[in-house]
Amino acid sequence: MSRLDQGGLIDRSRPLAFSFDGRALSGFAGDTLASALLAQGETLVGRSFKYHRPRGIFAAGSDEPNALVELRTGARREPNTRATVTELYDGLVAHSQNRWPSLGFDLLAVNGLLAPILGAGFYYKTFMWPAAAWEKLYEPIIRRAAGLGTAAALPDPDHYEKAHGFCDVLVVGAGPAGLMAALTAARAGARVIVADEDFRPGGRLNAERSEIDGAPARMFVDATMAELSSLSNVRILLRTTVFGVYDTGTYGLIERVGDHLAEPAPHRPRQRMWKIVARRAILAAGAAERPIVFGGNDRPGVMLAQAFRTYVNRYAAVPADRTAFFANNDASWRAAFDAAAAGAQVQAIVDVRSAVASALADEARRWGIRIILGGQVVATEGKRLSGIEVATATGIETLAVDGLAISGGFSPNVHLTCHHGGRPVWDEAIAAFVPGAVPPGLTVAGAAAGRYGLAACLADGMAKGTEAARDLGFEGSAGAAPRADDGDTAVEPFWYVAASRGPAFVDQQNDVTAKDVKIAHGEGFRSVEHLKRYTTLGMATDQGKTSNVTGMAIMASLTGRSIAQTGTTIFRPPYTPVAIGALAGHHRGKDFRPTRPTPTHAWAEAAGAVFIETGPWLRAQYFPRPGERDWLETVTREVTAVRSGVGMIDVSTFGKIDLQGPDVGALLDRVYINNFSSLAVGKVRYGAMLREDGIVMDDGTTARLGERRYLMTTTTANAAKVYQHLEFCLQVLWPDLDVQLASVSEQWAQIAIAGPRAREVLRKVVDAGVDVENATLPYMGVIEATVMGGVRARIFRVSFSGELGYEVAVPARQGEALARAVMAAGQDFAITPYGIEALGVMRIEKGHVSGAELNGQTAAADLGLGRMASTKKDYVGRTMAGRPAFRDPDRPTLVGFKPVDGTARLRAGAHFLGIGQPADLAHDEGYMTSVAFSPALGHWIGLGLLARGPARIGERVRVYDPIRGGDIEVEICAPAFVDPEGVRLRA
Amino acid sequence: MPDLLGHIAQTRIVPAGRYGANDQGVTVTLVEGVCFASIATAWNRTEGLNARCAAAFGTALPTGPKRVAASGLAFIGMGPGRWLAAGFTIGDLEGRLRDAFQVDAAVCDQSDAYVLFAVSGENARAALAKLIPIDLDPSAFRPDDAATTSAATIGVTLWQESPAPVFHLAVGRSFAPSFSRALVMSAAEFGCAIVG
Repeated sequence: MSRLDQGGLIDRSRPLAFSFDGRALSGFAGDTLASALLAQGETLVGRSFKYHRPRGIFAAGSDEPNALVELRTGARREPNTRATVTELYDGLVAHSQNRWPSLGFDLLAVNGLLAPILGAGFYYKTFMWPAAAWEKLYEPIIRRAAGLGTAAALPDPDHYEKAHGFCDVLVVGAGPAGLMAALTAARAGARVIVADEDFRPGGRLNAERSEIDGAPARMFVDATMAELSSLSNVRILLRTTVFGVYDTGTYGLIERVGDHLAEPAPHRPRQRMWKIVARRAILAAGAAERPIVFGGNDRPGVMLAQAFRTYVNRYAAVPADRTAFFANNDASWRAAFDAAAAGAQVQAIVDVRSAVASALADEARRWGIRIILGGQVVATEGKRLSGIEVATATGIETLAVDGLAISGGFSPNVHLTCHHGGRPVWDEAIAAFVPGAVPPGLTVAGAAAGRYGLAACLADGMAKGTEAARDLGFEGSAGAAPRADDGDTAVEPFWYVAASRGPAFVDQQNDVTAKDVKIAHGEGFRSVEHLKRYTTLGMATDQGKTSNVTGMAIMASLTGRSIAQTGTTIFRPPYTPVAIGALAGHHRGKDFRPTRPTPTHAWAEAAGAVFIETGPWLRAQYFPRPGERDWLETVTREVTAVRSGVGMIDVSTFGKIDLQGPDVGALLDRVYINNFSSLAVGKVRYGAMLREDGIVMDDGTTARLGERRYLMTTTTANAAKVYQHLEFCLQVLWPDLDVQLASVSEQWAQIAIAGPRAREVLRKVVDAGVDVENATLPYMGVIEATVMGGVRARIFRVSFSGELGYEVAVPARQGEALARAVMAAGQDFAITPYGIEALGVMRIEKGHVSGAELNGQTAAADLGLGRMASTKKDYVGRTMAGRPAFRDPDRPTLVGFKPVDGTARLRAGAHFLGIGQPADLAHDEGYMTSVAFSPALGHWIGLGLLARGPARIGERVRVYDPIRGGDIEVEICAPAFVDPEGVRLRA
Repeated sequence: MPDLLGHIAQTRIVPAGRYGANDQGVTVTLVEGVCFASIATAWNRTEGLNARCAAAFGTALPTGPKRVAASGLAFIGMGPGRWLAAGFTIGDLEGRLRDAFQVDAAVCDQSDAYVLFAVSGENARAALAKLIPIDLDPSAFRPDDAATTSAATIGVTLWQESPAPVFHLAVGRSFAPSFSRALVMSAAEFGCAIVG
């Protein structure tokens, strides 16, 4: 095991230092962690998932099942990272995972002794008794013993971002087929994006010693990349995996912008998630080698033949001193010859076939490689591989090797073709599943389509590139494909060595053995879907890239059916794991969603407000003063100040919808339960609207500003929903109504002035000549006016608090000035800014419903709004509001509550029970929706939905709150606790 | 990266200054003094509305997501029968449009509803590609093209005024701080200057 002195695609002038399990090692630029480890003789890399068996490096790409490591340290520690796709960088730190106390000596390897009870579906069959022990005992132990790495517990210091891309042709894979497809489409003039998960384009050409147009294939790759890079209509995304195919030509990609660095470059993301919309896509993802299953096939030193070839040719790293090959196909012989040419000792090629092409045999002899035809490896030896047992026609023979390169043939990388439900189909000629139905706009080229020969790949890529471009109207002369040799591609299906000794692993990542497949079959599982779920075959980070087909083939042989009859599972996104952070992009922490400040935010901040998130809005919750002990004291002061003097609050967050046209009245009559066409100009009316199912959607006031113009206000939470509802009504239900909508929520800042002194404050804010007296602007009136010296305003005489109240709307940029002007005008009256807590207290005192009552479960009658509902017109939700459940006299209905013990605190969410009744569902009579400490009354009050509530006023019920330990009696009362006659608001 | 804006409150538009890399790949200008109004055509009055628009402003309203400019005003198509009118210091834009369109359209003053960002620079497209889910390539989005879409989950109406390119993005006023953060974070790798 050593690094070759020459060759490979590594840069020997750029040595890189790294460490593995604390050992200082070195590699070169161009290495992966896996190739650098192999070059340094590190063959033991990890422990297996379940049995903690020693494992090495099995593959050379994203199909790796075994070599999962914890990469980096501290906050950047990243478990389950495949060493085979981890680009080496200076200072890289990696640790093995899932072992204790060390990789070399792992005590949990004792699990291997428990294999008889840890087999397929063990968690369905064992650890079942006693049932309570599963959650508390068995599962924690199993989770600790099994599993992979440990995630960092610290916040990720890096950032991720998202981007959108558009192209005519997306080419997935920059191997020979992909490069030709991209080049052809780009030359025709199409906008092309070509993505490859590797950091080096070329695909198989990096791993093979092939020639194109009589020159080393590397020159073809370099020349093609140079041309593609020079074209303005081409974007090349290396280190980028196309992980999913979504609707209408949308593809998900992950670009690993900074994964190959110790830390991302300044201001650059760690990863970028691309959402690319492509008119056409060409899948040129190549094919992956699959293993043969035999006894001891998981021992470190056993590796896929093409991976072995890749390490030798691309990385100039020879994975073993003495190697044997075990295969069923010609391509493995080429891999063996490459290894020999590079200087590796290839002891033997064991081929299950009884005969091979004479040219292959001749070449093997030239390299001095022993040929064992009709042979099978039945077992292996050593913690790290030290020997193999080969069954031949003459008996069992042991070969002393420390490397075994295996191959059961190739499986096209069809994954993306399955993302719309397409099911691959079995192609007997190449013994592999090839794409079946493909997503719209996607075609498959080269080895991914089962065309393995190099010449075939180049020609197919060119054909598919031409076809995609032509489909889109780009004409170009395709010319002739580069010349190359197809090579030897013969294969004879062979999956499993029946005479295996020792565990024979089908899925190395999940520790699923051939025996597990047999157990599943023996227990009645026949479907490959069930096989997968029962045994976990094909799950986890590699998604069974090296195990699926073999597992299905074994199942097929057990059931006596062909592989075509047995079928295959299909693949869903993502192709390889995607970090959650990449899906979030910049939307993390406080930037998780937009924050909407109100127009008076800066003023409120200066006034010492405590803010609270209400949806995306940030609103003033209360305005504490020095010396106040808690929020309750502050809120009580604010409420008292409003009720006894005057206060102000920003209510800009309410939705505001401008409605214009001759039919607005008709529309409003149809969406509100009450009548609006009769509303006079200059008047405001409270209304409630229902969903089609009779449930209350929203409530609010609508003002009539003119003959043809109205202004609707909605609750903060439902602003968008109500607008959408109105649009639906106009576009779908009644397109004949001449009504134009516009959201003006952002245009207007709105400040409520409330309290007995409100009018006195308002008089000082409006411009001279503006009359706000009772006669001109009575309760539920509206005027358009100017304030603060010429600022356009709308003044609504409405009240949520129950006090004399006005809401003054000005253009949003004037909101802060209005707040200051109102505060200045109210100075003589000790005006008090109040937040939404005080607003909530006052609306509960008044018995007004809000979000807790408009909860998507209540009908108008439940909220005491039944009498508002017109019986003389039709409106949305009317029919469904009349269904029997809503007429049930036992239906919980809004009433008020006060504690019998005046000092007791009420809690929202507590349930009502009859006095002396047991606390169970059968006796549940409703629940408390909103509570507040009423400064006016000096005790806690509540609103709630109680069965037959209004008929029970004066009675007592039990308020049961097991979560917070509450169990008290309350008296049922009318929901309006303060000024039920509404005298104050009409003052 | 979150630290780039860690010291700036979520509630204010990222203030003028330079952010991110040392280059100046993206310049963001806060455009002040623009009046906006929304226009919605009355039922079955599109033809009359266009005639009135042509008479008053010398142009028909654009069909589809386009911008037309005339008489110191720009009309940007936002949806079927919906436009945004924009112009510098027009004064009572709503009144002027209302007078021109009469009952053929509903007009609402939206001058305070939007904050207008102008995004320019060599990397403007690359930065906006991280926010906007539409194709801004010169072959697909040209001067006087417009779109109403979303950027980092925030609704925007954008149009291109110059091939340079300069993109204008009108964003709801309360969303402008969050939008500016998303914009700066997306432009940081190219170097981002906020002006105005």
